[in-house]
Amino acid sequence: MKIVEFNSNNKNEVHKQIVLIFGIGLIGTSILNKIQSLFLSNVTTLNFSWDNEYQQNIDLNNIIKIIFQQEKGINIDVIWCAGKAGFFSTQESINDEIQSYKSVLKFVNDLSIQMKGSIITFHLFSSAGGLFEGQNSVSDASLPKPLRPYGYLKQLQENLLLENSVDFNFIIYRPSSVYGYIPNTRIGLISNILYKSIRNEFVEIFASKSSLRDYVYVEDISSFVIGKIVNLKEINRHNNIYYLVSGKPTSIEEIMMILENILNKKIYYSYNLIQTNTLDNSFNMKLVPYNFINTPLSLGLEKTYNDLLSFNF
Amino acid sequence: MSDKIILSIVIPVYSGEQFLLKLFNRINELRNRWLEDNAPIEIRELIFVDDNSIDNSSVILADLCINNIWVNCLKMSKNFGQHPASIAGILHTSGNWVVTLDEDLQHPPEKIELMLYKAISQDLDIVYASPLNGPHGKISRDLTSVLFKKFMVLLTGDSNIPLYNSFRLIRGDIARSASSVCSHDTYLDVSFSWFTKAIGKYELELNDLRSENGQKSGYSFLKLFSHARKLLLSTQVRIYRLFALLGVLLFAFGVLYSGYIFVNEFLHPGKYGSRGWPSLIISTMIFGATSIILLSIVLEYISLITLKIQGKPVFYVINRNMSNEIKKYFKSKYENS
Repeated sequence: MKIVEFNSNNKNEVHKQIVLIFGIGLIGTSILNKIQSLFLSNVTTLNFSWDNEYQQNIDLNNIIKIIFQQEKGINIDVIWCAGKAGFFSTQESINDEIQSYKSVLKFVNDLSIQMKGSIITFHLFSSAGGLFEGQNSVSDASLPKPLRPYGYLKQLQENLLLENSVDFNFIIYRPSSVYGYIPNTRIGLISNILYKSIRNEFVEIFASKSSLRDYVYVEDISSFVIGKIVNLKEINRHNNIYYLVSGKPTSIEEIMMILENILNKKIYYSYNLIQTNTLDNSFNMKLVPYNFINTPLSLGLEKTYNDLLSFNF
Repeated sequence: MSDKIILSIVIPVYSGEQFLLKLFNRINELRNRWLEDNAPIEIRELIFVDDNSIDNSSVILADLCINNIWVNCLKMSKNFGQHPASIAGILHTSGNWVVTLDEDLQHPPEKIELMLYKAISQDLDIVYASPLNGPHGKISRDLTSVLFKKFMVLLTGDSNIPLYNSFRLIRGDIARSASSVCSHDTYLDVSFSWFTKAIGKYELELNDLRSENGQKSGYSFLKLFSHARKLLLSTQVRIYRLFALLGVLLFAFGVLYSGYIFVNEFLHPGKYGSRGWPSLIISTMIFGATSIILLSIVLEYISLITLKIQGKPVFYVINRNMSNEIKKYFKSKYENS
């Protein structure tokens, strides 16, 4: 996990902030990079055990010590974007993640009791795809109906947060299919297609040609989250679930067309029809938060391609 | 998982302020009727595409959009035209079936159910509304339209052209796939026909209210010309193959004629008084024919490249399975009576 300290300057008010990021994957790293590019910041890497509860408590105590060294009234944002248990994970593999999440949630609760005068906000990255898998035109009126362990995990994490957030603010983000490329993070579907295609390798896609998904660019997400971290006054405890979606369903076929145009060559691919991954998933465009800026898909894919090229080729 | 058929409706809007509310109400009535009847069909989304409208349509659409969760509006950055607006709308749908219709009440939304019945009962992928009457309100306009379509069939060899109509019901996968491969000059309906030949028509009365009310009709010679241009750019123009055939015939005739002259000159020396005339005719004929043949080959190559750029697929897989619930619904409603 990473601790980032920086001074945010919002509307001529300077706040000293600490951001704790649990999970340095695609989204976590993107948030970290964005903070570093926008603010003069100090980043510390600390250990956090993902599978040993005893060690977790020791690690969290170390984090508390660092926070206590800071001046009073500092704003603290804890971001949970850990996702060791991916979309295809089994029930057994998500148990560790549930335990880690509970430990961190307890840690934030304790912190909020001990750090009166500080604004403490917990940011949970849930998953729109996991909660509403197989549902189309998902709207405010739709109910989460997970179909796989990953979805149940996200639902459980949201419920635990709603039950335990007595003394701290919280924001739940429900991103749909996130794409983008950051080195040393898990490579997603789109980056994988691009990576293999640049090398003229064959790509096997685990979905049908017409499978609909809602794609969002990772940097749009990190910009939105930083906006929330910096604009503390915006946080409303009663309406703080954000769907980070584009509102435009896109088929894999459309993605492949755009990627072939970007690459300017044919992509060698086939579809592997795993029944559980061919369900469509789309979101009503009214769910898009008003200040969430969506990069157009073709531009986002082009950026992903350029990032891949600059880091790997 | 629900077995309901999900419908998405796409409506491009340019100057429809006087029709939009009425159109919305009629679609809403249909939607509510299906919900009340617990029918296995649901209109999940209605997408208005504001093609940089020139009247008060934007305000009306914004109001409809705010007050109805299932209504969404897309605002085009400039006036792109009906087909690009339809493409933009279709690419925002997620329904099993997509319906496109005009803003001006020319297309009765109440007929969507019958179009869907036709599609499902006959395993069709696209059903076009086919006007029983002349839809443009004037005999001259309707006649021009019919002749134009017949001429285009002759020119392109695409027998579906007479069916093309902006009131259409399309299988969702095909609608989105075809829309995603369209380039800016692709004729949308031609693109649909690359993905399926299971195309049918549903006959009904269509009325151009604008024309009937003495307003300017959306139909004009310039539009007809623009449609012809797009159609020709999107289809393989078969007529150059006729030119190729002409070239081959000319070449053959040139060879035969030269043989005839050669034999005549051999048997009856001095028969052709003006020296050089036969060789001039023969060389013109043979070289002209060769040029025509080569030109046809070049055109064939260009045609292939154009179709590839336009996104014509090598193959397309479709799932036409329908739930028993919907079959039962249609059977009880239309086949038992």
